[in-house]
Amino acid sequence: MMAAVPRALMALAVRSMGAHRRTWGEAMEAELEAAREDGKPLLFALGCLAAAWRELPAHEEGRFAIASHLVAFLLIVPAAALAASTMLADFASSGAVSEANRAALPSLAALLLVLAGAHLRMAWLVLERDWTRLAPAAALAAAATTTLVLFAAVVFGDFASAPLRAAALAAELGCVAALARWHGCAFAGVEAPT
Amino acid sequence: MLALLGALSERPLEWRHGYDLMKETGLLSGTLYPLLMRMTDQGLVDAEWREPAQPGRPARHAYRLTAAGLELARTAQEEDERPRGLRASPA
Repeated sequence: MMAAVPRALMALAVRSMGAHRRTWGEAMEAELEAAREDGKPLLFALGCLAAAWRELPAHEEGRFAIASHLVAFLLIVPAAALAASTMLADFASSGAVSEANRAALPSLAALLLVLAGAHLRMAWLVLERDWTRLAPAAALAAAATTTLVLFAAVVFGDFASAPLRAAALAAELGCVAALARWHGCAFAGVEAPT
Repeated sequence: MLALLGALSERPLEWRHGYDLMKETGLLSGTLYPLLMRMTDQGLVDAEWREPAQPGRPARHAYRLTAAGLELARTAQEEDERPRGLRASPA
């Protein structure tokens, strides 16, 4: 376990170095044994990871990785949270739970689960660069968002949040499409990381 | 960078490993490797894979100064030894 953490950090550092610095990643990895003998493998591996991450903006593969993580963690996941939270806020602000609202609760819960699941899958597939499997996940997220908008309008009479949800979805899909195009142009023929 | 230049110029013909340089200079790996990369890019340091001293170990990347690197190290050392008032001001 104690040896596994530095090794995992080092593997991440090597992968983060990108193709043009791959030799340097392997050079750092080759020194891990010396660091282990010196009793400081974790500190050494953390330093190497920091060095590798500082190199990220210097190469296109790194810039792409940064952009993918930003889209996944700062756009897709928050968009799912926004959709779910506005729906829950609608529900909370609708006052006393009427019979109609109460009956809608299981459907709402199922819809939110589908929405959250579709977004998390989208985020994962963006990081995996698996554009083929991402398309159905994006379609599911779009369908769930559309249903949520209709749900909010019919059940809670909320028409105001529809533009916000539509804009969030459009931003997500636009960014994902841009990433896919960038990946296709810059890394055609390059194997995706496993 | 001066610490690294100093360490590499002490035994300029000898190939040095990254971890040994870390210990000698007191630099952490997060500082040392970016420096080595830049210095190699600038032609100040040569880097190559060297067979391990002990069998069964992986090959290790080793470093030494190029002629340009050695020249820079000497200039830096002379600059450092010169009295403060006589040092060339930075451009």
